[in-house]
Amino acid sequence: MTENEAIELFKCISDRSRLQILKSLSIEPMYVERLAERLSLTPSTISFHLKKLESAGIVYSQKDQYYQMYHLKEAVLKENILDLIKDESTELDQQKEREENYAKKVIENFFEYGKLKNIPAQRKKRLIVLKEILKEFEVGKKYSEKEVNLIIANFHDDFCTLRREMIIEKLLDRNQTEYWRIA
Amino acid sequence: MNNYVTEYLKFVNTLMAEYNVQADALKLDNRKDESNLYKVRVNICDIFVKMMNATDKKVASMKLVEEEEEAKAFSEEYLNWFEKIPESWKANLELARKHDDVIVVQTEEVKLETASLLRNKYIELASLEDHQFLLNLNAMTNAATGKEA
Repeated sequence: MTENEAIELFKCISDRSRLQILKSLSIEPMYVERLAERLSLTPSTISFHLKKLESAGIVYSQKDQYYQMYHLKEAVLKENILDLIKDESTELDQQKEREENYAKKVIENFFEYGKLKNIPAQRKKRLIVLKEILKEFEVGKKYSEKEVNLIIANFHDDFCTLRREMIIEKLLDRNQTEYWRIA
Repeated sequence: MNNYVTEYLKFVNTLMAEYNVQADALKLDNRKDESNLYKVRVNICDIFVKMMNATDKKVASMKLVEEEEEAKAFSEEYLNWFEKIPESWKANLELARKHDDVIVVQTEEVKLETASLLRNKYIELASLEDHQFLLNLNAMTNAATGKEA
């Protein structure tokens, strides 16, 4: 577990309601309404907390007949706290992790449910956004301009600007008729 | 200012105080996210209190002579905010539901619930002063949204 993942984990469980949910799940897997009844909270509040616990990687859900059952990820909770705080990553690893976290934040801020809200003005952020869109392009595959436009338009209406930017940033290359992914 | 407006403001201020108490209690009990949802409720109340002042200014600029006419204009203008402001919340809620984003769903639901509570209270208090048009307005809105009057 990385330092950031450990921070996320500790932040997530430092909430009484979430801790009580974990305590309940340690008895047996439960569904939202059962947890709500046990803890005297509304089902929507329970769902809210379960989503956070799922994001932190402490619980997971599984469909069981009519119910979505929530389970503890016991392996994560059985980890030794000392192991979690012993960070043996190098400065290079930490730098990489910081960059990944920055990119993650930029993506979270600029994308909403898979759509690009607006094109970042700052080059560093724009490059992150372009690289995220680039993931839709297969390495080695040739695309017509129409295909490129359609892929980019799934993210944002201004596909011309984004397509041009991807060429300028050397993420895509082109000849007279085709485009392809470089990186 | 009309009696019902004073009563309404009193209601909203009491509600805000109660929400603040809840928020503080939850925070002290290490339930920060639930506490934040009460803070959201406080913010929504605050928005609609500010809209009262904006409505007051707008109605004053209309320079209406009759008191009844002024009261009617005030209520119409004020209740309009309950249609306009939550529009984006409704859109966000729909989008979040579509993507099963329970965290956003909960926040948008809290905002809409609070706005609806305030709107209903305003109509209830104003109707007591025999503003028949308000009852008609409420009935019309309910018919449009499929609720019972």
